[in-house]
Amino acid sequence: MANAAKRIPHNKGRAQAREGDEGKKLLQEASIYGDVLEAILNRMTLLDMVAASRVSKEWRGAVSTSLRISPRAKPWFIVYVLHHRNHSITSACAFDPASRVWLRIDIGDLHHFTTNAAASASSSPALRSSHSQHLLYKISAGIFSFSFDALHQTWHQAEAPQVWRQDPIVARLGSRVLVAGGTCDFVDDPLAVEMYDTGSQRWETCEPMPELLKDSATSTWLSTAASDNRLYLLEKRSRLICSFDAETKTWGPTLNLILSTSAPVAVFHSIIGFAGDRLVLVGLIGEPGELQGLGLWEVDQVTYECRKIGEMPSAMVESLRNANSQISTPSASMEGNFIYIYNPSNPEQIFFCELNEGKCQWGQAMNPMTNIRSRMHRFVFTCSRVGMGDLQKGMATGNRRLTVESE
Amino acid sequence: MASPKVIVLRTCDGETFEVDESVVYVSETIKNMIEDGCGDGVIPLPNVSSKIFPKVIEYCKKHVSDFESLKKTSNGDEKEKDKDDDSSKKGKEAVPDVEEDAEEKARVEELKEWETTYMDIDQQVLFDLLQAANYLNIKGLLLMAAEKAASMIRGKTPEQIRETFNIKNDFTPEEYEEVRRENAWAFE
Repeated sequence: MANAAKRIPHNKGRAQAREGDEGKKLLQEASIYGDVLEAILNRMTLLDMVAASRVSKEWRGAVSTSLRISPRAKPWFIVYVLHHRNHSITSACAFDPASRVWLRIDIGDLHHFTTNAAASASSSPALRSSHSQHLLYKISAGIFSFSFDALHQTWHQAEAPQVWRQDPIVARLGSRVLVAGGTCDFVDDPLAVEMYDTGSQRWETCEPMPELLKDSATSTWLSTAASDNRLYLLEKRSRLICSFDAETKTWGPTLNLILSTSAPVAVFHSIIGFAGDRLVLVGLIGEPGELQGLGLWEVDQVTYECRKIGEMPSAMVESLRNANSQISTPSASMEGNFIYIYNPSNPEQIFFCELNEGKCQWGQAMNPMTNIRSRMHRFVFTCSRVGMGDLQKGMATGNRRLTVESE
Repeated sequence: MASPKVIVLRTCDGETFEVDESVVYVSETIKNMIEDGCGDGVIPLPNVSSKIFPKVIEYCKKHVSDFESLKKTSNGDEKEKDKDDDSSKKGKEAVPDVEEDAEEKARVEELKEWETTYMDIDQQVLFDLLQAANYLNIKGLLLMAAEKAASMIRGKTPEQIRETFNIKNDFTPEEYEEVRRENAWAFE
């Protein structure tokens, strides 16, 4: 019956005459289909659509169409909560900016996230985020494992890179993963760079990092932005920047980024990332431990000129300052049109900015998951566009079960 | 021309209504029919009942474009109601920004309140409204009603949605088993 009369014609005077009571009854039963169903589904977020797709065959088709026409592309902010000492995963949650809800993620394949506690101390086995192209990775004894799909359901295993490093830069450039820098007493060259190709499953040594970065060649000091073909490294304090081209496998010149701030205060800490095609810099204004403002700049990838695109509202800066201690500095994660800003030691309160045709729309959200507040935890953050396929795969395998967290 | 033209419309159950032309113009469907030359006779609306028609007209009246007036206030209110509409504000005349903002804010507030009252309706009326808005091609009304319907779906399990909308589950037993297995949603 549902397939017979799919569309109510609009704009034409053609009659679909239904008479009297019987007509009314038909109207009632068949009331939500075709254009009307489509109009309703267009108001719904990805999460809402999952239940809707299971109502009937017609609804399933309508959900597919709706998602094809307007994919719900607002990236989720994902937090993996790990135990500080034994590196086991405690829980995971995600924030969906479209519906403004927090979701608890129950993970089935824990072994990918957790580390064997017996692993030796020198092997740095804990789960980490590269803050670029939603890459999560673990380097354990002899193995380099990583994942970069939206919900991290598919894990790749590779041999560990040749040069051993602590706290290296790890970034994904399309189908390649780059490992650079990191400190280690035994390594001759602290600027060594290697790149893994997921297609050929082989490592390749590349041109070493620029000499100027010798003393800061770790992910503590350097912020990473990666697209499919380019990598940018920015020294967080000095704003020294350089780029790496994945095709030529060479580094570009190293330069200082110049940011003009209107107030007599300066940017003391910067983070970069790609928001879609744009290279964006998040600049913390004020002094360490005394945050006074937060600005967003777009960095021209050719000239390295910085153009201010937004500024966090002062009331929000106040909240951000209070959410961070004297020690921790806010961090940022970006994807698509979204920039998420948070305290890496305590993601109870997050802040975000949506770049909408040149305008910044700011928001904040409080995480209702209470176990996040424990001090025993370490957090790993990513941000990715989750699609219906990701959710369905998670449910089918039983590896990702999502529940809406109540207030 | 001082007096506005009146259009006569007949709903599917035989009742006739007389409505100002500017009001019915909010419906793209009726607007097209009038422009095709049907405005002088009775316009038939075979997909709209006399029960829901007044409710629709109430929306149209609120969102009418003022053709005859040359007032400063922006016309085409329904454009503002389109949440997804990308069109920028219509060219406003040179009015000091502060005044304009306050006036604008007050109008938006008032409209919101009106909408809340207007949409305080039961489910059957909502369904009828959706149908009518779709057939009559009144974009703003369809959006508003669709949002309300979407809010009725959010947080519900598939079975609950079926009950709400009186929909038959037409998955095969195998497909349905798959559905049941995957339907591990708990909404608190």
